[in-house]
Amino acid sequence: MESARRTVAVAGELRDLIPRFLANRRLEVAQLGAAAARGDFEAARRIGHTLKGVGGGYGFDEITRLGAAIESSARNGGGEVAALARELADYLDRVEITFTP
Amino acid sequence: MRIAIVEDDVSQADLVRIWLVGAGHTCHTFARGREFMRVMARDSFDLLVLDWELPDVNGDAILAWVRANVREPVPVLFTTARDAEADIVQALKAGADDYLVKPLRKQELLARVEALGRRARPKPRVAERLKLAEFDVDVDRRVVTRHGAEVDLTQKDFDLAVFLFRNVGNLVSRGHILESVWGRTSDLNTRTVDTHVSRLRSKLGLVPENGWKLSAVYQHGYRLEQVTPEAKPNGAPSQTA
Repeated sequence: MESARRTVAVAGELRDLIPRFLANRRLEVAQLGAAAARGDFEAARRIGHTLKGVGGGYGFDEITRLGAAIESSARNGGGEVAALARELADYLDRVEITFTP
Repeated sequence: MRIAIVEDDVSQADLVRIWLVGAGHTCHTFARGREFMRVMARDSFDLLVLDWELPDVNGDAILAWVRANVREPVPVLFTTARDAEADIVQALKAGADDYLVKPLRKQELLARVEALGRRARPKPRVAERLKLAEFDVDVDRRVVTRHGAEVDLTQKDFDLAVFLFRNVGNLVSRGHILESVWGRTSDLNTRTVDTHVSRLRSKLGLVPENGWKLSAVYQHGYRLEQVTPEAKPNGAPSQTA
């Protein structure tokens, strides 16, 4: 069964920035997976911190929520970092963007 | 305003830049703290937007460097995803003028930037008039008089004169002058600034014998100062509006 789409309304002035924004988040998913695999939770914390700070500014509150969870997990042993990275990857696959004037 | 954004995350830098440029500001972005400090040693900005967590030098260290090395009191707005009270207090105690927690919100960012700009360079509520020693600059009528006599200036000479009189005592870079007087989209180079400064020095008599010094500062820009009859720097004069 196809996963449900998640629609996000983004300000039209950011339209040209969105491809790079999403590409960077996908890159961070890969970096998070690699950091979790090698047990580098300081690297994971920094990525989570970045995600927390940048998501909501573009309108992606879910990215900010996941970033905060990744940062918190990484500070506390990192047990959930890999799962949260997969959740972020899933979100990026499902998200649908509409641009507001 | 001419604003420096020090931010390592390219998406965050893109966002801040597009909002500020949309509000009429010019922006220069730096992904690394050391790169910014290298430029700042020779350049000047009206406002700094500093991220806290950078890969090479933390924002609070950059702030300390700015306060120790930049003579002009440039306003600093800290932006960070750290939201603990202790973090905010630390940044403000370190010399930040304001603090914004990420994720940023457009209207709040713009309002805080405007407020910092107002505090740094208060605008007069009445028609702006700069009175500095023998000069009387009527900004609205675009007239400069010296000892009561109108000085014949081109449009750019006038804009440059106003910019320099508003920054008396401050070291301003050629890039800062170029962008403020000719605009960000100008394809002119900084030699244009040198030519106009030289002409303005002559037209307005900005020389020590007249109590003024408009000096070129090596690898940086220019500083207009009032000097004593003995030709010693005397700091910024008072301005009235």
